[in-house]
Amino acid sequence: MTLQLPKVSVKDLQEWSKLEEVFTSGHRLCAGCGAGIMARQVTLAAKALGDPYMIVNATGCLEVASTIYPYTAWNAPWLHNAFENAAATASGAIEAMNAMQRKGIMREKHVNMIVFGGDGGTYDIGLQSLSGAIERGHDFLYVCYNNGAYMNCLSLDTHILTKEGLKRVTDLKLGEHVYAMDQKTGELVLKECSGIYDNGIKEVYEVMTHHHSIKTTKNHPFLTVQRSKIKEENKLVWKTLEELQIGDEIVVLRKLDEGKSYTFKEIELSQLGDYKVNKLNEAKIPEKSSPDLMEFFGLFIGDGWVRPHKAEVGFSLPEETEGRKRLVELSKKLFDLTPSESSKDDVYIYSVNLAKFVDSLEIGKGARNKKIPSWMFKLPYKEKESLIKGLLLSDGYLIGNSNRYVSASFELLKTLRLLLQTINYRVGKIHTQKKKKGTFVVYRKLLEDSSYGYICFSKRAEPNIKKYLSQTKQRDFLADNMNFRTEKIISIEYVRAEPTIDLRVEEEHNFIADGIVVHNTGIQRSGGTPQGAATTTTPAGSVIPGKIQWQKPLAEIMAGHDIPTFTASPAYPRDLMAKVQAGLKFEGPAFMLVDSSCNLGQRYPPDQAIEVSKLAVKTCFFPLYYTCKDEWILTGISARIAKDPERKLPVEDYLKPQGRFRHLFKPEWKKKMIQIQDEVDEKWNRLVRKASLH
Amino acid sequence: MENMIDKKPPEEFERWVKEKWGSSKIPEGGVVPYHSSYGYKTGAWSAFKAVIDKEKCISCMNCFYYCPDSAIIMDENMKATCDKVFCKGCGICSKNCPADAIEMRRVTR
Amino acid sequence: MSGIREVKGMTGDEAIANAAKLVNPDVVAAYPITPQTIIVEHFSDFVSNGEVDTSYIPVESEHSAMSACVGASLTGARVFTASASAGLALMYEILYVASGLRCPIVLAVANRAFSAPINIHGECTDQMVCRDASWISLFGESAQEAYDETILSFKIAEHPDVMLPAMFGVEGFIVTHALERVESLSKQQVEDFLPESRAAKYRFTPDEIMSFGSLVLQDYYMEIKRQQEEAMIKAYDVTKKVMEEFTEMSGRKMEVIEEYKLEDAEYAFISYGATAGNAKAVVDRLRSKGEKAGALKIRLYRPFPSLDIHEALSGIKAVSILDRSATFGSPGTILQSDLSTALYGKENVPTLHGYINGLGGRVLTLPEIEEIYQKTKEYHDVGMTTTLDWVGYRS
Repeated sequence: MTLQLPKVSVKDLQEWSKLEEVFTSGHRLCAGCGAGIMARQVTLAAKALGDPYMIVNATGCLEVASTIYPYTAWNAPWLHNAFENAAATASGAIEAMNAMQRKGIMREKHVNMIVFGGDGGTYDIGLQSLSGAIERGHDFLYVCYNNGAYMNCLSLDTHILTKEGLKRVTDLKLGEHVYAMDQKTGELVLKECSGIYDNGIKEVYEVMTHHHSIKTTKNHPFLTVQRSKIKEENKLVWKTLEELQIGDEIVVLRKLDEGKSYTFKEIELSQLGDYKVNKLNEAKIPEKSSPDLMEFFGLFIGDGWVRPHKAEVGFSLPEETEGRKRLVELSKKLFDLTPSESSKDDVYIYSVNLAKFVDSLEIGKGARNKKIPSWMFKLPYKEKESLIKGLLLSDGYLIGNSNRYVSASFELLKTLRLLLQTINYRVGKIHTQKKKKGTFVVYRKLLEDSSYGYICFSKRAEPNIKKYLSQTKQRDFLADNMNFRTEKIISIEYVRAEPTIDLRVEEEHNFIADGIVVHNTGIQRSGGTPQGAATTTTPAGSVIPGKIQWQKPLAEIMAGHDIPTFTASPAYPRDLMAKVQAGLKFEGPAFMLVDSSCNLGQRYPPDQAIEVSKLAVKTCFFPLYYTCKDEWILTGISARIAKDPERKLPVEDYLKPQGRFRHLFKPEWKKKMIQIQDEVDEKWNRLVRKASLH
Repeated sequence: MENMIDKKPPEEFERWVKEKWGSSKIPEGGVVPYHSSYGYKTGAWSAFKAVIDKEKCISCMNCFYYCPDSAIIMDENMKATCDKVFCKGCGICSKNCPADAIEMRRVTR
Repeated sequence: MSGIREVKGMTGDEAIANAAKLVNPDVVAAYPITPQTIIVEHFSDFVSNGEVDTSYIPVESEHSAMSACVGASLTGARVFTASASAGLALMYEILYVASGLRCPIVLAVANRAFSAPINIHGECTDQMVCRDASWISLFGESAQEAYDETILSFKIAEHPDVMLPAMFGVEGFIVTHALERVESLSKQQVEDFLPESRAAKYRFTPDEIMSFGSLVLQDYYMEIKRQQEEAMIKAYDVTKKVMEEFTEMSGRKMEVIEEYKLEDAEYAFISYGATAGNAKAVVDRLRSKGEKAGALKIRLYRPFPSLDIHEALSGIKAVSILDRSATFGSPGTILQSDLSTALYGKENVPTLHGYINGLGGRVLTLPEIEEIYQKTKEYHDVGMTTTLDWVGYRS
């Protein structure tokens, strides 16, 4: 690392105490203000270097409280312009002095330019001018004094099992009942969904087991088996994806309870004489579902289409196929209708009312937009199996012992897979294949290049639990659970940054997404909640509304400019002052982020400022390091914690003294605490990894 | 109240405040051409002041660098002493003294 | 002392860049925006070729441009920048800071219309709306005036009695991009004309303990603002004096207003910027038809030259105010409102007839100006003391 930190000893501190103060007594910052401590240390460190220094200050607490006209606590050349332009103003001053020195109007001297900005004037409104000034390469040290926080989620195409069947998470409504796992009894229960949150674009990972897959963010909690050497101590615990590894067992759905035949909603049937109805093929429209009807639908999903305006329900079933034969049988049996078999390739049933009926069932109209509608998820096992039978008659075939189903509709494959999981079938992942024009798919010739998907599935044999319980439990921790089982994770892969969403489920706080049991969120988010009404949970403090959010990773953004970037805390003055001196000595822009305690905003007594800041560092919430051009070096306590992880304190210790986080210590927010700890740990581990490369 | 450093604002500034200068006398553009905050005695904010036992003081410099108000002054023996004229009584020094040499005591006058 | 006059064809932007070259400012922090880009481009060429010894800061927005200018100016440097329309609007916040901190920055404006709708052509609204920001404000009719005002502005702004920033503007494209005849000055002349550096009493330097930009509460704010007003009042005389010196130095007459055939005129045009040129041409036409027409051109807009205008307009019956700036729901054009206040209650003042024209760069043709003249006469004859019209648009 080309950048070296000077060593600052206690002797140095004693020597420097003899210097005349730069940021003096008489300012009007609150008693015990962290910004005041920071400003003193930074300016004394600058003075100790010996070179002249100048200060540009953005609008903020520090600026306002220290220069109430005509009093000024700055014993230095000091300039305040506006909120968002401290870096630009400093650029102007620096260049002006360079020009005047060149022209001989000003004596040549090296000036250390310090720019102070609060988190407001730097992170948001000031980011443009800071980044611009850095890009131009002026020689200054920008010190940003501030604080931090956090959030977790599902990808938008996740499917949730609800009382009414399978639904896309984006179609959920508040108040709906979703299936969850009762954590005490292990039973499948229905609980109310009391919150739906739009969590914006997040990095999403795909977790796959042999038969399930889901996309979530790294900090989404899954229910997993924690194995212990003592068999009796095996238990289920929640862990975030970040903590899970390949081979870990997570809880998934085995099957739903036996359902009931679905009673169709009444639709308005046409009569002869209605607009454009010249001919009416009387059809017997069924009132309830039945195995035969479901077999019919299976054929329809695979090979059928409906054109209500033509009163047509068609099937692409060529002559002599098993599928056509069965369809004709079913059609007569169910609806009293005889299909037209005039075409070699297709079968048509003409009936205004049948077409209307089929169209109303949300199955889809054409080849690429079919899906298993949500109501089919609630059917009895037998009916579901008939559906499968029908499907296989159309686009499926047997390969060895397992069935394979082919379709152009990936949504169909996804929902089919989830349906099969509810009846305890084992289903593989969705495979994609591209086929060229002219090839035969099942028995149709492709008219152009297409991509198809397929899944393989087979019925699972029920193991003999009574006889071999402990062995089966070894494989499947939940072997004796009717509705749930465990599966091993076979891969965890990064997908992309996607829009995400999360739910809050009352009482059990979990739900079944894509067949996997996952935890809900406890936090409401300000702004950005869809469906008009995310009901919030306990409103927390009035200053910070209980939401905790990591702000922009400002230090990392600045480090991305390839400039020396430091983090420091006034609780460790030797570390902070060494970094200030290194930053000022460096020729070119440098950035320093300082953790600044504010006893007013963070709600603790005024004498806590240093202790709270120390905890921020010791819990790795605010680690101390410096970096330049991808070399990362931990300093002070943070370096010691990296060597000896025992020293790391839980983040609770940092949050506890602060009144603004008091609500997090309530039992219902315990999961959130875990999540915050996970987030802190994740960031810390990444930092340690980066630092350990040297 | 003994102070190690005589903290006083410039003489011209004292006149400025006393006479409440107007637009013809104050420097142009809202500039304050010297350091002047010593004219505002923040010690009045609190009845509590840091009382330091010099015998116990180990010159670790914690209190000096932790005080937001520069109200800790080191004497010629590098022992800490509190500037009561400006001490706001926040108590950070007392909380962080490893030698337990500082007590926040209520003083009147 | 005029020396050899070099005459060249230059566009308005080029003229400004060349004048700035002679001034050789210490810092230029500018962000490009049509139609000012040529100024910035030419100037950067001068910097790259070593023809000037200026620190050029390629800032990332106009707001940062003015911020950097403030920082630079307070150190005692001579600072120049340029902008237009949206850019000027973006730096608006800092214009107040610049004048509040008494930085003698010179800003060249390529007057351009505001969005929406977006329009890149000449219109003076952008500079007009800055009239309250406590900046010296000048308008130029031609490339020559753009050249001259660049140099003038520095001397006015940096005068110890003034110490306020100055902006001067010429219409975008109409003047900035049109090739005209420009007489240059020599570097020596400019160096002699301008003081060596700011006579600033207070500077942001490493050697002096000073706080700029303190928080000022109710008890001192007005006093500091009053200082600005007093500087503005003094700026009027300072400007006149500086213009006299300039006239002597260059041989070109420079005054706060320009009177054209006003001595025996009955009906006059008042305008500023390029339109003033057209007004003078129309005056000649009208005179040849026997009309007693005259024209008054305003160069100095802030501080408003009330006394000079009042004197110039004595004996005039009615005035056609040709104003190329937009204002809505107003009792008169922007210039008309200022004029009206300046002349109110005084003896012997003309009736005022405002004509908003040329918005978005639309050309106000000579026949249209003649029609305006006739219209004003009619208004006056029926006894209307003040009117407001929009000219040159299709209804």
